[in-house]
Amino acid sequence: MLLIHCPFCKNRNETEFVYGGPVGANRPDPNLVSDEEWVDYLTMVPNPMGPVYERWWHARGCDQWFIICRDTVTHEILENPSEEP
Amino acid sequence: MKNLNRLESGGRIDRSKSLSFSFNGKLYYGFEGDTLASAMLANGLHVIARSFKYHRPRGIIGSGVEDPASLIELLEEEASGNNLCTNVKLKEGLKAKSINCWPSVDFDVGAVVQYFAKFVPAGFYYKTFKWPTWHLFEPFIRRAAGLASAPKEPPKKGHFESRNAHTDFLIIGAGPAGLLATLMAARSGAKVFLVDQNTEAGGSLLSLKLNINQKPAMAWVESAVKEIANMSNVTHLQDSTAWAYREHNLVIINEREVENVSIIERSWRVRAKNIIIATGAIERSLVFPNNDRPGVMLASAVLTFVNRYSVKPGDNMVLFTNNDSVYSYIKDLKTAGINILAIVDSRKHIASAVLAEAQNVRVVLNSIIRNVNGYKKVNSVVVQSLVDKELETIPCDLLAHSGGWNPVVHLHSQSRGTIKFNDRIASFVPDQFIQNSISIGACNGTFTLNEIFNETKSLLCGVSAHSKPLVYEGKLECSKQSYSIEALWSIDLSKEKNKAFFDIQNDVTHDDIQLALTEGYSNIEHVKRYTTGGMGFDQGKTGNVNIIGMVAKEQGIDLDDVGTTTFRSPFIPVSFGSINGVREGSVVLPFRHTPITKWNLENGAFMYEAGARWRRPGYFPIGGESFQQAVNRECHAVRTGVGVYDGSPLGKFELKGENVGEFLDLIYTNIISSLEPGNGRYGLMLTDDGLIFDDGVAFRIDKHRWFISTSSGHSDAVYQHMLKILAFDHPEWDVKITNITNQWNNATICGPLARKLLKKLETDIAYDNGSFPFMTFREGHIADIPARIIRVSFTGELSFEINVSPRNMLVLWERIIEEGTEFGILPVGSEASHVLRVEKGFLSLGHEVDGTVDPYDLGMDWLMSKKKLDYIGKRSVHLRRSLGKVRKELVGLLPNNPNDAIPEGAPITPDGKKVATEGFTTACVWSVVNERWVGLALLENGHNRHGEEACVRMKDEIIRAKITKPVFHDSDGKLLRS
Amino acid sequence: MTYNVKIQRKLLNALFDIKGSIRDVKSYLKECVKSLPVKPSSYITQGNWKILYVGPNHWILLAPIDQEQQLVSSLRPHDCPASISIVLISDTLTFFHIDGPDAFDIISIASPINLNADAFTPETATFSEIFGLKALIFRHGDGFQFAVDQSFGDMVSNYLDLTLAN
Repeated sequence: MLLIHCPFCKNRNETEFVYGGPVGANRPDPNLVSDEEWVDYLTMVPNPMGPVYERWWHARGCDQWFIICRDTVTHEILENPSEEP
Repeated sequence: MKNLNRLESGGRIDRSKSLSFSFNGKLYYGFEGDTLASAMLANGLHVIARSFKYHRPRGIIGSGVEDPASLIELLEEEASGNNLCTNVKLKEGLKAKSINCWPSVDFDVGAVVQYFAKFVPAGFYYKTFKWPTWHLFEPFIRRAAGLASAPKEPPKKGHFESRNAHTDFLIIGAGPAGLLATLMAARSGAKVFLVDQNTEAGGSLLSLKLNINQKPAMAWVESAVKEIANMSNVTHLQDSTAWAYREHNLVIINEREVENVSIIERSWRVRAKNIIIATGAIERSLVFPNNDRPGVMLASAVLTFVNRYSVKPGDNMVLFTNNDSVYSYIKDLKTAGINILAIVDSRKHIASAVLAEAQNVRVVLNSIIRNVNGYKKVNSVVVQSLVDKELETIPCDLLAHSGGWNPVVHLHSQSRGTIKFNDRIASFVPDQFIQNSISIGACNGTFTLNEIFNETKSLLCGVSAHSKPLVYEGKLECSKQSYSIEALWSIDLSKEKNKAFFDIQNDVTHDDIQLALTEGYSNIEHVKRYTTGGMGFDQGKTGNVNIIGMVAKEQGIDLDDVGTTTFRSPFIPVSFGSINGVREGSVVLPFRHTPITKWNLENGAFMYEAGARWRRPGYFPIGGESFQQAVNRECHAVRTGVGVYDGSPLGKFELKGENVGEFLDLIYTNIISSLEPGNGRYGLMLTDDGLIFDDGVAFRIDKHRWFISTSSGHSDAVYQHMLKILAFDHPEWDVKITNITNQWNNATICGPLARKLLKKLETDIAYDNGSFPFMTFREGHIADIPARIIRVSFTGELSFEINVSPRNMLVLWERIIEEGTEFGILPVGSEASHVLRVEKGFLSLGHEVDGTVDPYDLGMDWLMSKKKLDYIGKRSVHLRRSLGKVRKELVGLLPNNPNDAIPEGAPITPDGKKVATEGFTTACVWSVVNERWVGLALLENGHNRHGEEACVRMKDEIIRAKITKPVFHDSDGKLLRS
Repeated sequence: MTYNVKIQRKLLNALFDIKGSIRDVKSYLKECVKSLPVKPSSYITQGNWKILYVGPNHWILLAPIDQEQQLVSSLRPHDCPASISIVLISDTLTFFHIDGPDAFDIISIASPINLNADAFTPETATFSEIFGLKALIFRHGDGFQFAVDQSFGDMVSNYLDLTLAN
């Protein structure tokens, strides 16, 4: 059971949140990309052993979607990750 | 009451409080302060259980959670399955029985199994899964390897509870280390939780007679407990086990003895800034033939029974050891009147100071126990010299053994901390900490009281959860202790005929481990699975390290290279009730009500969940009506007169802002932004992979305000979807969304007479078709209630969805029923609603929309805007269709025999042959307008197959049906626009 | 009774959901609301109203139900500027009052939120979890008030009965 830091509500129990998957590429303009690029956008998401940026929704809290950087091995949530997603 | 084996005085029992209990139907007596185990031993009971696989008689081996053998079942009020009698606190009237034996624990027919043991070797299950067949053996194995049966009734008195807590410090274990840590943390003013699984604090000091500051150590314990009790910042739980260490310093505790008698057990989920693990150590078994006979016990358990419970487990005793700890017990054991015949020590030499404690006791160095004689009770042991292999038989009734001490690293390991092998104590100790925790005392491999106190003081200095530093001012002078060990994972068992157990609980012997290694299962995790060693309720607390040592020895590698198996939660068995808490009975499944739930029940509704936890009326049977009769009657009312449906669960959202139009154009397939205020449109939402996600309607209130409705079961998902797009794809847009699902309930009146009913209800809204056409909404009053009326239709009939605030819903509903009586109005349940939408071919999430279909598949491509450059899902739909693959498409089915019903979900195959399906039935209902069964199906290439025949392949028959357009009533939609 | 508490399920409160930037909301509401809470997850009182700051750019105004119509007239949800959203949501939540010495225990059974005085101050108001549901929670005197989705009210009542059962 993770303890997740919501930017508005501070530390809260994982049960208050909904997981929104790892942060992949931004949604491209579908009219400006090739079929392959579009399929990549839909299907390619980071899946590392180690730190990964991911989206969470504070469904039973302030309703906010936000991004955290979580180590998938240790569950450590890095407060000052080295690079932006 | 006089107990056979009870000492005259001493112990931590209250002799003024005698308690009666029964075991296997016989009545016995013990005292307050006893466990069931100590009371059994006091009464001379030595065969408690039969073993898991071989049904060998088993007695009490340990004195606490480490005991691998003495499982019993508690009966009646305390009914619960597999309990260790060493863990059960004695209570007046407690009733217990043995498990896994028939007809009785003294004479168990199953014991013949042990003579066939070579036919049921390690890996037996895995082998029979492959050949000849598991099913041949399964019934026999399941019967033989039984544990206790689960209680048939829920507890008669009380309930379980689960609660949450947050603290600065959680200290696990109230032995010397944990108590000192608690004093230091609590005196700093921090919020502290102290939990301990014993019935009272003290840990090892409850059994060992040591001194602190020249006084008995328990006096120090008692003063510490007293001080803690007076501190409001400390929560102190005894008889409570921390059994799981989860992510981010969450520990789950099971409190077995709750001060509040109506709570059977309580579970705590404690989130702590710092966790101090002080869980002590568990004595390890030695491995030798027949080391499971009743009367063979762990040495520490014997001492605990003597000192703590004032029980003498035997009169004539032999000790077997490879370490120093038993020598310090000699004085107490002798004082209790136990005759120590010999100490058999596998080591060549021991320190003279240690030997000095064994004055007047025969110490046989460089020797081992070769065998144990006696079936239901030890009657002699065979001692063998390691020098000349000479054997000597010593008659005795108690063999106590000690293979060293295993630090309880379970919680540390669960926290993902690493462990390493320590040669000095020949066991595993914590190495790296991953979460915010430290281990102190015996669980950190520190065994003498002086070192424990020093270590605790120095390690806690480094902890900084709280603003104040942690210090202990005051002296702590302790009795002198020493400890050394020479590892002995097993005596030499080559050519041994008798069984020598590594894992007594699972009946895992030396032979089993050899077999696993021989067959190539040398990884320790494989050894565990192949032999079941270290599984089960005790998780190998006394035996696991011996298995690891054995594997290392056989392979000629270090224990660190073998490693340990994963320490999993729970540390001890925990009742489901405690984890579950108060969630039982009426709240096992969450439920939601609309304000007319009571009315529905009073009017005979058959209620059940219909998506998103809403408990809704399915149908309203009258008298002895069948399901179908009731549903037909309700459908008939809507098609020929008027019905009323509670549509309150529909998801409803109000959207406000400068960019709502653009936003709605992005999430719906059609253009919404062009709507004039007061008007609405039906729309589909797709996911970006081009599949239908939801359907609903969107209405414009004014320039910047809109409301949308979603399907009832999907409102949370749509809300999440919308917020996610706004947060990550279009943070620049001004769109504010408010969930108004429960601000607006609705009663939908539908049927050709709906307008007549509206007139009778009296409204200030002009409701003729010209001024209030289909797909518009109006605000005003109806029956004097403020309302927003929307002209949408999910039945295909003329419909008015009357939205009012929930506080007015029941009043409105009753007025509708009252005024509608002259038109034959009926309340319509979700079953009739389903029939009506199938007759119209309207889609339903979970039926036609199953996460694999796009709008073309459902013949709804007309809803996909060609003008819009982009909307969610557009690119993917077109990309997928450009591949030209065969799709399953929505069709109607008319069974050739109009009285043939097709079960929902039934597969359709080409010519009804036993080949891959080409589709399936999504819905099939008795159509009141057509007086026959009609169905909907998703069928490959279905749009081009109208008029052909589909074959629904059932188990015993093929149902043939004509493929049609998916609409069976008012196909041009005149009625709903009327 | 297992716990020394008094639990009441309350009838309606007037509730308004208010969204927008703090500047826009402040300036729009200045005639009726003197100030807005600025500390996340906190509330302030004004007479018998409470103004709760429950999310980014998101407030809830809570008042006695008999002031609902008056508030509709002064807040004008129907014609506030596009940059602000004000929606009447009085019926969406059902309130429970937990009073008495053991109120803390009841909430700690129902919710995983940290209720310790340093984390959950007298000014705290926040959405969290009660019996697995989204719930608005704040202190009320020595006890707590919480509100859940109105449709789950009966279930929460049952949960509380089970919690207090002998």
